[in-house]
Amino acid sequence: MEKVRLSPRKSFERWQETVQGCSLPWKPYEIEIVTELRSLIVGVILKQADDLAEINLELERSNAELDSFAYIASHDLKEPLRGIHNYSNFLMEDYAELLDADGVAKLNTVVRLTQRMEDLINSLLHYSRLGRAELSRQSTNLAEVVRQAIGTLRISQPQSSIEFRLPRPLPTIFCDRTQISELFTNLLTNAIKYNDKAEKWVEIGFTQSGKGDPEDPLLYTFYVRDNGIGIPPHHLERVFQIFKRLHTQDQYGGGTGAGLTIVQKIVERHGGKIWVESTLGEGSTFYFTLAARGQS
Amino acid sequence: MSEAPVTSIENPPLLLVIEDSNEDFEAFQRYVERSPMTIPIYRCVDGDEALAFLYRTGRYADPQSAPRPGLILLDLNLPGTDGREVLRKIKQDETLKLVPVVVFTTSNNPKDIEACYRCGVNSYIVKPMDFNRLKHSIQILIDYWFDTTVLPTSVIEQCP
Repeated sequence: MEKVRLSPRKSFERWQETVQGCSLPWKPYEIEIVTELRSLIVGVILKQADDLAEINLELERSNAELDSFAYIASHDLKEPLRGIHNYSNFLMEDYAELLDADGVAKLNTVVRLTQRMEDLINSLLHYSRLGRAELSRQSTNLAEVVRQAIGTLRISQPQSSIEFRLPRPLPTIFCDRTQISELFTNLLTNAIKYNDKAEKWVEIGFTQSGKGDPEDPLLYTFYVRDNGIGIPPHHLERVFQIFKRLHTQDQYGGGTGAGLTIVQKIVERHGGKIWVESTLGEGSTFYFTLAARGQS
Repeated sequence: MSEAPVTSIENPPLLLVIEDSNEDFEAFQRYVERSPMTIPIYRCVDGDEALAFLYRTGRYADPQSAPRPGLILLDLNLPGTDGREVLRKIKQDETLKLVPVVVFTTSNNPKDIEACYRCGVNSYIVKPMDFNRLKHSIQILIDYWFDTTVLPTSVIEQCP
């Protein structure tokens, strides 16, 4: 009887081989699945590229529409308006003696309304240009900008005494000087305009965050605080809407209601955020953020 | 003007007004006529008519029908060929470039202002909306160009 010997198989060692950098040949069914996957991925990518191209086209179209809008606002809407304005004045020049006091008063109202309409058109035009004009960023000393804004306000409102508080000097940042100057002028004008206190004050200050390196850029949060009439909580968001006023034209010196919309646009164009906190009857604080070195 | 006072200029040169709006033209004419000078005005309603007048083509082929203006008042936004193009053509023409051009427009677009001065416009006036300022601007314009300055009309008349 032959002895049965149990020993590890040798064939395995002979079969074994080390293969590097190469896989087993793909099976036909694997190739089929992978081809299908590839065409799916390509399809998704192409679809996204198409969508992107369409969005870009859409954007170009809406930019072109804005351009023609600005043109329409500046010329086509203003021309007939100027006609109404001038002819009302011609009427007064030529026929005033034929009209009674009531007639002259009504003509004066027509003239006043044409002026108001023009203010609105100009605000709209200014706002639309602001959104599209290239920012011209330069190193800007905000202390200087605010000093000039205060100077201009004092000249335009010599009768009212206002205390301007600046707890510490404002920094120098990289921004569009003209726009930021308009931003401060609008906020300071509002702070004084919507204020019924005998002793009016406005405080302009800032806090800062970030270390100032590329990963953690220096970010300033500025604020303009007043002791004015304040804003009721349910109107806080509305104050930024264009032509949205919380008061009638006869109150607080009137206006078009574009000032804060323009302020918001300027902050957003500079990559910042703006918000407002307010207590009715006590005053409002407008906060906005601006990077020390904005992206150009 | 029946009682026109004695003018400082015997025969003021022609003022060519290129303006599409009848109302704007009437407003302009109204205050020019109040000037002590009697200024002859010719009006073209669009850019193409203005170019025909200046180049003496089409209905203006007869030089008698298209005398050389001493001053051109130009609106920018015109139907057809607009004022920007009219200005460019005038300022690129060896003869016509002598005639001072005053842009009188609603456009206060910084791009328009820059482009016009770059082309060689002699003045750029934004039409004031306010009636009193409009009156004032027109008076100043007429006094300045027809009384204070000397216009190059005698030189231009001799050009072909």
